[in-house]
Amino acid sequence: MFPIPLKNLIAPVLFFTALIWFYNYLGFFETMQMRPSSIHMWAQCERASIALNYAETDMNFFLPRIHKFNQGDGITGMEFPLVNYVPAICYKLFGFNEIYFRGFVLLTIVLGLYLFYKLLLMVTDNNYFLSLGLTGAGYFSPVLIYYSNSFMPDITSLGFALAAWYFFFKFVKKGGRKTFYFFWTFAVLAALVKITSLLVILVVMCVLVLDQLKFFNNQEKGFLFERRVRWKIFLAGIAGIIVVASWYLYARWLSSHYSEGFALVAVPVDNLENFHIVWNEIKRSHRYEYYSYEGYILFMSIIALLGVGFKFVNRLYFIVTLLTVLGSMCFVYLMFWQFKDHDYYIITISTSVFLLCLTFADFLTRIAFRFSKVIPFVFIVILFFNTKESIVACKKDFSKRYDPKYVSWLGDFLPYHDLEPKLRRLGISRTDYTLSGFDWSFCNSLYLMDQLGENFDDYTSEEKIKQMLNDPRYKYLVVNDSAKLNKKIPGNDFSQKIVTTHRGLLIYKLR
Amino acid sequence: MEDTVIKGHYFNRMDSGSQYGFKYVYHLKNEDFEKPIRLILTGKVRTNFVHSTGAITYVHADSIKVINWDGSNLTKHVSDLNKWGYFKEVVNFKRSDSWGRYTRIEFQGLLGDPRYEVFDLDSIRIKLIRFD
Repeated sequence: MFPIPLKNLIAPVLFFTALIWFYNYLGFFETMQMRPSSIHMWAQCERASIALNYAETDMNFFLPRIHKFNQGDGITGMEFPLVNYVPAICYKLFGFNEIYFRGFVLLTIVLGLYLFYKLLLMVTDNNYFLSLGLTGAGYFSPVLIYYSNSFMPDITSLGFALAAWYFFFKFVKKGGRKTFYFFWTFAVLAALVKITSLLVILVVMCVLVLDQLKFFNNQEKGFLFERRVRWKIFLAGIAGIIVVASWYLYARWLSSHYSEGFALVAVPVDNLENFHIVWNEIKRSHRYEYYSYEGYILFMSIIALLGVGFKFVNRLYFIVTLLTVLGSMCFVYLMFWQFKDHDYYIITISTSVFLLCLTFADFLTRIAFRFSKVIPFVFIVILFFNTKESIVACKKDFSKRYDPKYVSWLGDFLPYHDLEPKLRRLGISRTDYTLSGFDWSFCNSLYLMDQLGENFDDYTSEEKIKQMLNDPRYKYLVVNDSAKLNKKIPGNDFSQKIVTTHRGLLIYKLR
Repeated sequence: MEDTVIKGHYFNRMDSGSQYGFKYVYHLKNEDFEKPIRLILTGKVRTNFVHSTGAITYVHADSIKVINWDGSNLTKHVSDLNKWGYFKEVVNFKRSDSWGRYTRIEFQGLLGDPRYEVFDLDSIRIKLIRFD
């Protein structure tokens, strides 16, 4: 006999089979071992640099470092570096391979999606296909897919936020101290990893206030929680906020005392002209990166159906969704300028979409119970064709983002990918401070060749470059275009100092 | 896609005496117009100049005009100067509406600036596949 009833296996088997098929269809697994590349490689290299520096320089969790060592020995303030620290442990244990970083990020979002799927199963009385379809509807966003195995913490934050919501609703339904601890841990981690996910705790606290005001008085007990439990959750929420605020205050302190590697301030748009600039860019470039056309149609239809059948909508799910949407809008306002160039800012606020799907799943189950069980079946058929189109859109976008020409157009850092072994063979260690030109990014080339130092680009002044070249700390210079260097520093004697060449790069020994 | 090609081993040197390498032309068949085409170029490359201007170009053309001209610079595949480097380049030819219909793709080795450089290509294999 099986130790687990076969019925219990249906849900995970269905979920993971569908997920693996989907990833395989996209060609997702082929990208798992790739070095940071394609769009927003800059931000990805920064995060990857933190992990490598943990492993190679210092495992002190509270002193994250980047490869740019010019200021503050590379120590920088940033979001809670859990996403960087776990891969660093793997690097220590098994050796450096970025698959651990990509794998950890992927693991967190898969965990979040699976728990959200289980939440939908709980709500829909084990309607496997409806739960799977609605989980997919929330996830089939080109942006979510692309960043699912990237080096960005946003996707991990989303995964933790979904996990937190699963445990919260489970706690509402069944109670249990362990369930609450899980909720609190995931909610705090989600917020630590990305501050936007603090919304989970804030929304729960709003729910508590509404519960106090008897907003949920159509529930069985009149209240959602007993008074004592309500206070406990509230205090736990306050404690969570203090933990999160403490980290971000510490991160600000690190940035001010050492170096500013990451933006930790709000960048709202303060006039209509700038608003139009950002809005037009979203419409032009990002609109269908967030969700496919079919995805938007689906969500609009869901909102319309919820509006029409409002009396069947569960108050708790509705209010949680509404408050999350409102909170997300506040975040969009605060960071609106960043939405111009950063597609990934949508990731943490896409929790709203998942919650909308949750509200609708409950609504559908209720009207099926009231009217006919055929209704969910009809919706599943519609959902099948709808998500099919979204999957095709995701594949198209994913292929575009990893198209070799597109990747190279975004910044050709391929020559740096395998430079490190050559440098080590020549006796150059990672702590031999290196200058890298001409690199317009933050630390792409330094990270990819694993050299601590500083980089400069076409716009760095001649004086600044000369100053850096004369700085006795720098021992080597790596240049991808010697003609540019000769223009910047005419009459130099660098041709006498070449150590080696590599895929179009020139490596000079400065001293 | 398959085409009749001359089988054999060819070494191709480009320098100040000869800026252009061997040329291969693929004439599109009817079924090639239905889907985008992916090019997979493999072979060996060698040069004596770190910022090599050597490339393999691909030209989309019909019988009277060139529609699009592009190429793969092979510098990034030369790990050490004067030593052979193996390469694989993958390029997706996605049709642009403004291109119009091209009927052939021409491939050719090219040395952009032949004054200071000796650029060698060997064992080049051109593979074209239709993809979704």
